[in-house]
Amino acid sequence: MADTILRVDSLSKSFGGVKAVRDLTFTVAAGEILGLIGPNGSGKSTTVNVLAGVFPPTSGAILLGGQAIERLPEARRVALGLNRTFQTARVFPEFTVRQHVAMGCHTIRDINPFASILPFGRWTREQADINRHVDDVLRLCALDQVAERPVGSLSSGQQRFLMIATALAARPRILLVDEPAAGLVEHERQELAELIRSIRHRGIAVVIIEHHMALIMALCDRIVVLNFGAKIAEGSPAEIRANPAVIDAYLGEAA
Amino acid sequence: MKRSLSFLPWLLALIVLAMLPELLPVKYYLHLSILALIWVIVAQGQNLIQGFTGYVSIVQAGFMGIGAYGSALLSLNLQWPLWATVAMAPVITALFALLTGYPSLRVKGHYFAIVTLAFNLIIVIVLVHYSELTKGEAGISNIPKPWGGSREAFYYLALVLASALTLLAALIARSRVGEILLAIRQNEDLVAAVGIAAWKYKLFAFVVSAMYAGLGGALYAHFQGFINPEIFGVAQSLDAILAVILGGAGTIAGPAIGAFLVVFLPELLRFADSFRLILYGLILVLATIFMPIGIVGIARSGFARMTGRGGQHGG
Repeated sequence: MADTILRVDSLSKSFGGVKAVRDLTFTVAAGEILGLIGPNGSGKSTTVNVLAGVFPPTSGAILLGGQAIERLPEARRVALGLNRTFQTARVFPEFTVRQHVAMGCHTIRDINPFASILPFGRWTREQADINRHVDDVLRLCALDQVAERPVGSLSSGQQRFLMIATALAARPRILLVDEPAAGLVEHERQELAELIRSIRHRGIAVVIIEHHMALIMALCDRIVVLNFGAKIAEGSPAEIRANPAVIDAYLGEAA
Repeated sequence: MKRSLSFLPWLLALIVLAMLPELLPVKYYLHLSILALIWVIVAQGQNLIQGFTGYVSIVQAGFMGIGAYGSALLSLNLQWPLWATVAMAPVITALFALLTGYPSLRVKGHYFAIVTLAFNLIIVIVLVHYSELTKGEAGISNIPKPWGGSREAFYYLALVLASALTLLAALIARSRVGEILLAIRQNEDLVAAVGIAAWKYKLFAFVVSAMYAGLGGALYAHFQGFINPEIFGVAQSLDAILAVILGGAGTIAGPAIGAFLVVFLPELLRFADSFRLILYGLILVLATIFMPIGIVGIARSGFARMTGRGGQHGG
């Protein structure tokens, strides 16, 4: 097994009396695609939010490249290489696609934003580097044709690719994608699968939450199944498909 | 850059404003113009937090009051020279804004608006009741005026400061800080998800907006020579908000135009006598409903339609 990028150890999250995530343990290796599946309300999105730092865990540890991050604020985790996308489209609608992806470069810039208030200085040169990097990301995500369009004018499918592009712009070590295929049509789903594979080929680990089982089974190296906040199974797509507990709780007989 | 000619309207406006004291038929209009220039400063500050960051603050007049009382008391009680008291006013205001901004920026939307409104009420209450220092509701008079009270000279002082602070607002707007503020207004959750500690930038916008108000307040004090707590009440904070909305929130020309409107409009409506304020209120309500993007927004989309180009967003 390649290097472990993310280690989640006995992670729990309670909201009042509700235990949304219970004693969850798993690891993700560099360049691996890990699926996180389970019925609605099984704690998938809560897991992503706790990993990303939207709220702190009740107990347990999160190690990113060996470093404990569970008490760090969200922005610090991004700087350390953990990025996420959202279940519903969250974008800056008034920016152009290019500006939007450039916002994702915040953590890889050397120069303080406050220095850019002065109308001169090194930051103009840095801007040229960033523009080239943004161009690369736009091509990878097939958004280069719409680079100058306002984000609000994109289709919801394009906005989903834009969220991924913006997260990728930060050169993450691990990317958490929360239901990226929601609302996508068939050919967009295939483009998404290709994009996620090419992200993995760059050595970036991907944790994907998704309800579209064909996509999950085709993409993932390993799958973790949650039910009522706890892990009920973990294994390869073939193992998960054959697991009676998973069939009972989530997949049903048809899968 | 394709916006290479965009400085022309600014140049024109500056020339007209520079010649204004010669052009005005009535001296009272010069008085109003000075007030309008002071309000340009206050409104540019308000625009940073309201227009760019999307946090509607209702304490701008309160911050003006802190600057005004700070500057007036330093010159009357400690005999500081005028330039020093006016320079200190934004510093004092910034300290208050740091203390109040950190807790209040933790809440969003209407809650933030209400918290800042409470701060404005508190500032007025303190100004009224801490009368050993502030002379209470009677106010402070005989505040030193520069250049023997020459209106023309004060006009040019206000013009230079308003222009410089408008330029600074433009520099902030086109910087990455400005871009981050605009991003916060559009989706604060996503701002955090791309690794930006939004609170730093919100606090920056709030403190700088307060410094603009503090300087505006100090100028007001030394222009009028008299201040009392009532001038810095919530009603005036609402005027700052209206200046931003009327002119065009999130633009640079907007607050400047809006500032002149909120100063001159009530005067131009004097023909309506006792219906004056009702009419003023009506115009504001209608303007907010029918032109939420402000005068600059309307001009921009009209210009875009004339030249057949799509309405592009820009500073």
